[in-house]
Amino acid sequence: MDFRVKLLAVLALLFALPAFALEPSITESSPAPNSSYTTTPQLIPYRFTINYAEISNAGNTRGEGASYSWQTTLISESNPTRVFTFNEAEIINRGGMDPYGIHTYVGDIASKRLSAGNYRLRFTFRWRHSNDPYTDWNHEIPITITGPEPPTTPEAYFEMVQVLPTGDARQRRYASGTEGSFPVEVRHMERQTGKTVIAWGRNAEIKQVENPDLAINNAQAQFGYGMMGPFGLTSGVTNVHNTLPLGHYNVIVRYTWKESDAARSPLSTFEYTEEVRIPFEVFDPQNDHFVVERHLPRNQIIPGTTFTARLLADPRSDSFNGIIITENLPQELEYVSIEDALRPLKSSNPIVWLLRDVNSVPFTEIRYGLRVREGTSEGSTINMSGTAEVLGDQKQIAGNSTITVAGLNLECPVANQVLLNYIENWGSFVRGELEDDAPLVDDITVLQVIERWNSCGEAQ
Amino acid sequence: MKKSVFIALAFVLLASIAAAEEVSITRSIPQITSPNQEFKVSLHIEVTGADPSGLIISETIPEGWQIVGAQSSCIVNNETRLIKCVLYGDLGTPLAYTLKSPQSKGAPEAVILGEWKTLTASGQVKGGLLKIAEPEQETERPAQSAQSSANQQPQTQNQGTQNQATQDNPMVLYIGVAATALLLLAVIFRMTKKKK
Repeated sequence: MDFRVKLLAVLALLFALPAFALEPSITESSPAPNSSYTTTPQLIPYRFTINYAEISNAGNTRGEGASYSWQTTLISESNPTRVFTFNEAEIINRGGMDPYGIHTYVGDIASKRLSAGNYRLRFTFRWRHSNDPYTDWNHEIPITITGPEPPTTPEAYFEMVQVLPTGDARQRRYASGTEGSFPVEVRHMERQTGKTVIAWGRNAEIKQVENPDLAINNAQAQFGYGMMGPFGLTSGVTNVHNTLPLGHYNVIVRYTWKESDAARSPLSTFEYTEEVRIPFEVFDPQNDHFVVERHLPRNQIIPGTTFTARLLADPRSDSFNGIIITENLPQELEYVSIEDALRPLKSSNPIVWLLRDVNSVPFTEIRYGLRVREGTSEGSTINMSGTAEVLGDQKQIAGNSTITVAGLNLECPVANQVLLNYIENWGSFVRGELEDDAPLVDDITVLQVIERWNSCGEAQ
Repeated sequence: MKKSVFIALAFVLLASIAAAEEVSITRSIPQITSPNQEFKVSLHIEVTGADPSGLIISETIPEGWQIVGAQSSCIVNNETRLIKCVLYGDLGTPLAYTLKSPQSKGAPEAVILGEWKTLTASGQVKGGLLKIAEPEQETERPAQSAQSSANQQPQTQNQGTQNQATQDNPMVLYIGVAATALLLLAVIFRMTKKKK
């Protein structure tokens, strides 16, 4: 190639590149790289000054609008995707100065409960001109935190206290087809002095114990409450209407709040969530003696997957100090111990639970795991039976007693495409777009398919 | 004998009462300092005990707070204000979705209602108060104060700030355009010469 042409090309490239590789420049950055801190709670200040005049000028030239934003994040080197909770670390932006084209971004990382390790402070400048895609520019500073494990999050200085209703759940039993109501008052009281609540939010709902997914509308039952009163007061009335189905319910009032010391130091500011459950019941006056009801998933069950069965021991109008519940598992089912569940007295078939109370056994929910054995015929029906025994009386366990084995071809290995197809259908179910003739893929079904796929391993 | 059996049974009963939940999920929300601010809600998932094969998380977003989007493992139902996510495989993968704060700065604080479930357990998602707070500023130019992940209003430099827009010449851009033109000329010249 002619020398002059080569020279022209090289010069052109040298001049052209900077124009298209628009980047801001950092003119001030702190902390210094590889700064070291300890696990003692402390504020780690940061300060970044960037010059983005070229980018801003380019945007001005186009004259089609521009958008600029800044963000600081903390990244753990050992787990770069780790999300830090508010109680572990808080990024506090304190604003900055912004002469045209230059931005100083200052703030603190409130290291409240960060463990020892290597971290990175990432300052991100994001911009776009007109409707171009966003461009992110990152500036990172490695830091180190050393020392012993930080203390655990302190116990909350405030707590929820149920003021009303008083008395136990048996005082809130409403005969089916009748109307009833009871007042609810929940306060946010100081457990110990030294902090104040600086932010507070709440929500409330009514849920049925037998079927937590049951949608309850205001025509059936409603908890109406007003604006927050003094001492974080939630005050209202629960109205139980005559159309509410039989069953046990809870009015659930949930608070989330942040509390801090008088100086509102970020290092003393923590977030908590707590709830109060107020039970009530709709019962059948014609059938008001103790019962133990079994609740099984309405889904078909895939062999080899675990599902949860529930036993609801309901004394109703009876009173007894002890009850023995026995489940006789058919050969197609095997018992699976699950965490966070009342363990049976005997976990080999028949499975036995004992409930005791010095006053009277209250309404109690027992959860346990079951698994349909591999090789069980697809589409077959499995029948369960069991007994509930109190002093002088014995009954069969009521409620659901039948499990239908899924007629799905989910032999191992389960192909990835099969799993993805189920998840796709589950998505349609969540969006409410499931066709009438499409098989129902609800939460339990998709979780079963995932467990099956996971236990088999991925398809080749 | 009977008494000792009952005492033993009582101990067994007490001892059998559950340990901690197998899954703990906490929301992390950055500072929200202005109306119409987009921000990312992150979910910190911690699994203790046996690892569940799959996990479904349901988040109901309060009225007034808009759902902007969610990552691919999540489904959004705008009608019911529900974000539902299914996780399997690596449950340590963080989950996030994007919301936008209400249009009014005086919007009351709100709480996202969240639940998680596996095949054998369920629970509540904790934390994450939604609140529009005053940014903690140092000095000067409050209109340009930094926000954790806020977008400034698009700069419409052809209105009212025209003087400012024309003060600084975009020299680098002009030079870049000129250089590109030179390069093209060089290529054309070369091709012409080759043809001859």
